[in-house]
Amino acid sequence: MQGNRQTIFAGVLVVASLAVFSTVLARATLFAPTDEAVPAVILGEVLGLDLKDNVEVSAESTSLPARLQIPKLDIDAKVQYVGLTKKGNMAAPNNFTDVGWYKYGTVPGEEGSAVIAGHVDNGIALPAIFNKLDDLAEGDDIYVETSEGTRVRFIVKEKNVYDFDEKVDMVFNQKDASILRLITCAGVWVPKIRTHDKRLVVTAVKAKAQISKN
Amino acid sequence: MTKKILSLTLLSLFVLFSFAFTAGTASAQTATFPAGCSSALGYSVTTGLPCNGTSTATIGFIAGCTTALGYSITTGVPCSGGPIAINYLAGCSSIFGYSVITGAPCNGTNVATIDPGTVTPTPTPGLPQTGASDNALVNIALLISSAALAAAGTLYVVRNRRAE
Repeated sequence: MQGNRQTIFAGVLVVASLAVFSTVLARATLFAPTDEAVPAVILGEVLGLDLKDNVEVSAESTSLPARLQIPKLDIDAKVQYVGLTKKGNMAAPNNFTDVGWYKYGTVPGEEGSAVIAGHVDNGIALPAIFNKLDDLAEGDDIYVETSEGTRVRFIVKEKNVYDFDEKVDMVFNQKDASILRLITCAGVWVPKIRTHDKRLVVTAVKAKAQISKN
Repeated sequence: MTKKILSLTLLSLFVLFSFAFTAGTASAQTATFPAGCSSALGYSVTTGLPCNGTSTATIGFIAGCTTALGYSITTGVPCSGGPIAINYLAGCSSIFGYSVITGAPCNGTNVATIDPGTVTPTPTPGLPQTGASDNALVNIALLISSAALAAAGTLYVVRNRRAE
């Protein structure tokens, strides 16, 4: 009788441990926290941001980004459309394998700053989509493929590192060229603020020589 | 004695010049023109009559002037077209924006200059949080401990079954 109880207790412990294991593993590797505010337009009014949802505006358009390709880093990622978090930051993609395009900003290839973000690592410190973003150097190619299959080619110009809470107007609002900015976390993880203390921003400009179709 | 007289003369001249300059500025800022006119140039926006008070309006700017403000750089005459120069047009407190009286641009040209102080810069969203917001060490510890517990529990159950 005593042995049976212990066996049952051990069985329950096994089931509970497996449940914890699966939950933590899934949460750390499959689902990235987004904290995206809905509806963002109301938040934008509160924050003084003039938000224009390019996805809604261009509902009929096929020029919206669908995939981001970086041959040097062996990246071919799906592009999610992201907005703002409740704190007024650009939201991040909801997993560790896709990238997120800031849908209230410039459409990649058009005049202005198009911004795409991706995670650097997942919840167990394994590499995420932009883990090697810092390996990009001036002159490297980046492609944004639209939903109709057209590819827009960008050439890396520079890399910058900013504090995680720095408001960098130029990143989102530079309008004197067709610019693509890729952002990921950098620096060290700070438990108190539950994020990395730096952000890496890679700036690329639209190439004059384009590859029109795949 | 000569020095005293010279000093007094200089002082008097200084006072006179200061007065004249102040008075000139004041009159420049309080210059009045016919209703609907911000200078002596062109026509009144309310009455349609020439702003210079004659039967023929002065069209365009005075030679050497690019606005109705200040003095001509070639002839030195007031650019207002009147007897005195104006610093600001009627209804204006600066060269920016539009006159609250005539609605004309305050810079004295046909196109108003926007006050740079009133231009609101485009707000910027914050940078995204692109690292997992979980502490990797805690997650790894949880994974290892739960896996170890599951393994130990399984082993215990298997052994008990075999013993039975």
